[in-house]
Amino acid sequence: MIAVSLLTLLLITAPLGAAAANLDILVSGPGGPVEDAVVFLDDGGPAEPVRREISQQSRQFDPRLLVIPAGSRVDFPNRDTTQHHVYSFSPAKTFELELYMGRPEAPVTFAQAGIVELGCNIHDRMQAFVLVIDHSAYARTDASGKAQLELPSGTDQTVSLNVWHARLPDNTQPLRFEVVAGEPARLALDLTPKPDTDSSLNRLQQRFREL
Amino acid sequence: MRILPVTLGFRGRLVATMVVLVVLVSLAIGALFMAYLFEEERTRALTQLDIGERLTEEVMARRTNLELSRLSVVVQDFGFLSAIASGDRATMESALNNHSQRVDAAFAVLMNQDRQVLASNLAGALPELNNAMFESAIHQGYGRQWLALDGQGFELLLVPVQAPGLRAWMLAGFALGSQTAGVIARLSDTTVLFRARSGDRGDYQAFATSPGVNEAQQESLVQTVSGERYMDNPHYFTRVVPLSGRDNHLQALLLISRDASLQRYYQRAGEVAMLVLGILVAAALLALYLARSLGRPVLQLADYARAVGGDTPAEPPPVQGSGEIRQLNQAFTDMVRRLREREEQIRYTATHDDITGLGNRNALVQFTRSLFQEHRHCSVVGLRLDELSEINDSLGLELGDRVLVGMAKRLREAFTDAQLLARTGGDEFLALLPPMSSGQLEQRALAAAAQLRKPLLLDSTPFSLRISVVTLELPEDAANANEFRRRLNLTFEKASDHPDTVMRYQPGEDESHLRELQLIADLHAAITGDGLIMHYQPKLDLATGQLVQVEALVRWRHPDLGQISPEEFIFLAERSGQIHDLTAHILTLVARDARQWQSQGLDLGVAINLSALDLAWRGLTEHIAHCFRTDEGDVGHLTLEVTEGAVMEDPENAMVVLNELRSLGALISVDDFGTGYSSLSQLRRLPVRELKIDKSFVLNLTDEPQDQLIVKSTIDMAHGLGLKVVAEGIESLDTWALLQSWHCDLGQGFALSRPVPAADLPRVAGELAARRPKLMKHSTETLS
Repeated sequence: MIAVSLLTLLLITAPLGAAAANLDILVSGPGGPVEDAVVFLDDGGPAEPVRREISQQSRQFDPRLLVIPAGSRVDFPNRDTTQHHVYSFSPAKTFELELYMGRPEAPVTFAQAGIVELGCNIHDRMQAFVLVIDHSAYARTDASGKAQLELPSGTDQTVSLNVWHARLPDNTQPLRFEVVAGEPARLALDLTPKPDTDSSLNRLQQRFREL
Repeated sequence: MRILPVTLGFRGRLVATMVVLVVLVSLAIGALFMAYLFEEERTRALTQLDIGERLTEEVMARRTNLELSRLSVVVQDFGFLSAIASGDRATMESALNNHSQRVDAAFAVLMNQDRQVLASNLAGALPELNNAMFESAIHQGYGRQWLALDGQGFELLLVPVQAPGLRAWMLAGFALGSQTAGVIARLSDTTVLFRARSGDRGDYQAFATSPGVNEAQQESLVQTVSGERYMDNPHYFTRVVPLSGRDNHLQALLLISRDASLQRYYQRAGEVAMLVLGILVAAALLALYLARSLGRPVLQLADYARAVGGDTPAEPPPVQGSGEIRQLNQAFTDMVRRLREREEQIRYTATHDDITGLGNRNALVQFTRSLFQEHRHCSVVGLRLDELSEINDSLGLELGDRVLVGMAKRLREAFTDAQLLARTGGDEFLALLPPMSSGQLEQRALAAAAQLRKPLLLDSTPFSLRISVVTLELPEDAANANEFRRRLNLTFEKASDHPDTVMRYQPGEDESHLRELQLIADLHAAITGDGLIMHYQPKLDLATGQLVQVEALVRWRHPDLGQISPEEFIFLAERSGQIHDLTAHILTLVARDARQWQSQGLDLGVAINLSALDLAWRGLTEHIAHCFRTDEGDVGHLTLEVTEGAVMEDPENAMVVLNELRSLGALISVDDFGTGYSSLSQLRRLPVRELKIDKSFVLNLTDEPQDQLIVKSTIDMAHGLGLKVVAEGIESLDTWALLQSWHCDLGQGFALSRPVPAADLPRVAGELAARRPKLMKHSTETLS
């Protein structure tokens, strides 16, 4: 199981002098294609901050993964009948929305690029990630594990790719891959198993329950 | 007391057997049980240690779980997470202090993802943590490690701190303390001791114990080198439970006190001993009870047997017990009953006549014994069938028996009031009657005799029986059984001579009888011991007046009874069969005396009286020849006088004997002639030379004309037959003269001379010679 599929670098031979090229990416894990993997370049074109929202409904964050450019603002409307206490200790954005109902007055601004993990202090099962990227060159794999990135012109030969997934053993930082531009990039990830859908308890909690 | 040995023997054996059996079985079971107990105590201790070991592991696991639970709460505590997220070391350390105290951790260390210490409240340096713990923490949610630190035992738990956007490690150290040891000790009922050593080698140090461990023993326990699961210890059963894995730095020691086990063993042993003792007592009691219930009937039977053996009447013991005892009792009772029946039969037979059913001699003896002892009075009627032996001889015993039976029947009818009716001899019956006067008794006896003498009809043949009847009165006529028997016989003898009367015992009869018995007894001594002396009475020739012969007369002076008349003791000698001895003795004495006087110059013949019985004595002739044969070979001068009756009793034999004597040369004289029934024809055939006229004819000859006629004619007849005549009993010279005139040949009598001892014979002969002229003259005078 732990046999790690060595990441395969497939060098894509991009035609020289081409103004712009698309990079096809296929992300797979131990169980096949991986959905909701975020792939992004070190840098890219400028991106406009946006305003999004992650609502809490049925004691779940929705959406559980949000990729936004730096400087974007996110609202955390509470649509449950219970209060929530949304917080994050991630270095990219440490914040805390103490117990509240309804929509907080102000959205949270994610100014710094990085990976922000969200939780609810009174509902340990609730988990969500906000990926703050300070440019626009990123993509998100679909259900078949595919994604496409537009490479900036002038990109030649090798490209550094950052790949992140929630189930990476260390999901506090992305993995980096060197791929050949012009060729489809096949990225193999070592992922922790999917938690049960109805239980996102961590191991300690599981153990605690067993007692 | 007398039955004590029996009791001891019987019951003692039974009790001893049972008790010994129980003792053996109890001891065997007890010993086995003890051995099992001992082994069981050991096994129990070891089992308890096994349990303790598992329990220790379980308690440790639960303890770990509890600590993990507490840690999991801590690491999810928002405030704690916030403190970590703050990144401020001082904040983190104070939070760590605070929260580690919450979970009772001895110390705690916070590390970041790269295992660099973020905060720590550990005084010293962080001990080396093995990688496996981290691996385990990553994959299983926690890592665990035991640690011996400064002689103390710690359980290190490593848990991840995971919060949104926060990743760290928290290491908490929990001290292993006496409390845990106490819990394990309490649950497993052992003594628990934790020990630790710092390095891989070196001594263990105890750092926590359950309560109650002796300090001194603890020392020795702790010092014991590690490694084995078991340790030899004189005071404890021990078990080593390693806590810290291979390095064995930390161990739990489980201890069970050998003393306590031993104590428990002793206690149980004591209980077993008490049980055995109880069983013994119960068995002994049971045995005693059995022995009693078995022994009592036996002893009762023994008592019964003893009583039966004795004279006391005994009742059979009440039947109890069962089976064999009952059978024994039954058999015993039957035996006693049969014994009694047989005894009764024997007693009956012993005291009853089997023909008539009357009492027998024994019955009489018993009766008279008690009679004399108790001085009771009693009248006796005795009857004797004088002719029973004749009936038996001629008509057979069977008929004789029937006669007896018939007589017995009549006796019973005649003496209905008899105290005892007995057949005391072959032909003798006695009736012992209540005391009555002599007259009454005679009347009763006469009446009974009359009844008994009536003809007895047997097979239609009348038998008339001669019956002698006697009466006695007791104790007047006899003072004891012997006297009674003797006097009864005496009276019977007398009665047999007087038929048809009732003979009463006369006092004194028995005394004369006794005198006879004494004489008979003493006669023998007199014969053999020269108690007899001979006297000689001269016989004179009537024609010449010359002394020609003497008659030998035996005299016996009894030392107590004085002079005994020859008639009496000769009669007794005849009756007692001593007559031959007596005759032989007399012959010897006379022969001696005759030689004596012959040597003195007296030439006298001697006449000796022979008893009738002497004629039947084969040795007579030879003895006479032996005594009197002279040098000439004959026995001249010897005259043998035999009575008329003696000759006539058995003339044939008398003739043979007399002829023999005659041929020896002896003269035969017929003594006492005229008193018997002499057959003259017989007399003529006998070799008789002489007749001796009985003195009854001579004594009063001068006054009795009839006697004169008889004597004179006898002399004439004798002379006619060629016999000489001797007259005895001449007591007067007139008689002497008469006889002289009738030519009687010899005369003797007091008028001539009394019998004198042999020594006096010469003197008497002289005197007679001197008187001779007077005697001859007197006769001449008388006749003239």
